Amino acid sequence: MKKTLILGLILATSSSIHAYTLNAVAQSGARWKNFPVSMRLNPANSGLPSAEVQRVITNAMSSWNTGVSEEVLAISAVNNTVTASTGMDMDGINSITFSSSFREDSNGFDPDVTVAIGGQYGNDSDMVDAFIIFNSESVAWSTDRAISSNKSLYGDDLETIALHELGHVLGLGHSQINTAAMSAARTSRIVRDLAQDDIDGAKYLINSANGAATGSGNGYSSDASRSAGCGSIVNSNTGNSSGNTGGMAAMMLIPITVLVFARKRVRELN
Amino acid sequence: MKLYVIKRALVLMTLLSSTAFASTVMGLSDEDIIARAQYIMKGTVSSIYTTIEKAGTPFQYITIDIQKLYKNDPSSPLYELDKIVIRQMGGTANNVTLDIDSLQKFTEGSEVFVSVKQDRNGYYYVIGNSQGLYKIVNEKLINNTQDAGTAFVRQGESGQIVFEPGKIKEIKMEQMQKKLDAATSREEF
Repeated sequence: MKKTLILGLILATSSSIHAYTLNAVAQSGARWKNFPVSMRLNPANSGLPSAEVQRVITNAMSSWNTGVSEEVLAISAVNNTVTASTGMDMDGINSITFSSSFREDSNGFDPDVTVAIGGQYGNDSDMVDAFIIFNSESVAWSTDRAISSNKSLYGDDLETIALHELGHVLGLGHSQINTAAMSAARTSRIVRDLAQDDIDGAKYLINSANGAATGSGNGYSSDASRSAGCGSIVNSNTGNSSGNTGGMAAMMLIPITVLVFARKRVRELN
Repeated sequence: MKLYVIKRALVLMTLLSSTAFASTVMGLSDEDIIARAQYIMKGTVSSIYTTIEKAGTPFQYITIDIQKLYKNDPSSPLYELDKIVIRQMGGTANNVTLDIDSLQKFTEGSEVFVSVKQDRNGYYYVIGNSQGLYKIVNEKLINNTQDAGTAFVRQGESGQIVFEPGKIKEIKMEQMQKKLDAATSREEF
């Protein structure tokens, strides 16, 4: 009975731990200071009807907005004033584009295997420019769940990839939780909903943009509420990818600490 | 004097910009990479030049001196002692630093085993992004996609989709040679 209670305590403690990480820009302390982050969408070259692309991108943005209970992402315009070839430029224009000539626009990425690229520019305090470029030269995009499920490659579901790449735009890196939209090791082909860990990560970024906790590059927080601040940070990550390792180490460290305490307590009780 | 140096460092840090990209990439096996590559070579990274292009974006020009070719393109052959230039986003120039998660990181002077393809502009890119680059350390080939921050997607044996984070992969040169030999016997070269 006592052991069960202690095990329950361990599980409860473990489940409250988050595993999101921040990308390199967010780790340097940069944050979006003005919300929503407005992005121009150019659906041309997607291989899909423009209205359908807009609907799906809007859905993905709405998932983030609903998750954090705040409009953090929005489409500012749907037109052809942005293109894939200028999408990566540091010009202060946030863009979502499709490249049907990814071989020319890829800039060093292998065009045959890269599904999409998302990211942003920032300085030590502000994020200043964001973009997403979908590879429509090598990838056949779909917005239909049934069709996407039958495709041989995951990258076909536009909403799934948009949800993930928009997380990068906000400043998130990859999550250690497999069910998260920001996971780099998901087991489901279609992920159109955010996990709590995604939401916590986004909330952390928004909170820290408001001055609650800036600059240290922490992507690991035990509490993502607005009042969380620095006090809630329990471990620091070192990078978007290498930071994953840090996040995992912290995830493991706390349960192990609790386990040691629990074993000691069991011995005392016995 | 010290205060001056600290102040300059602080100003420089303030000016520094950083960027981050992340991408979703299809996972490739060594066999896939061998089959897709136009050229496979062992070489030395002789220089890395970074410059600002395209509205403030840093680009790297990485020169590789070819020591040995394992796969060649008969229609446009390369030769040992030739140089190739890989062009990719990234690096630091004019106080702008660009850190791209999923692209390979080259180090000047390092020995590499790399699979490449020529792009439309005559430059080269690495097959599978960071998957096609091995650093040679003590006769071992080491591929590090763990630090690349990339989400890899593969098709599992029973057709299911599998997602994998990056990892550090080590292989001996003779094992890689066997894979190359097998590809040769399948007339992939």
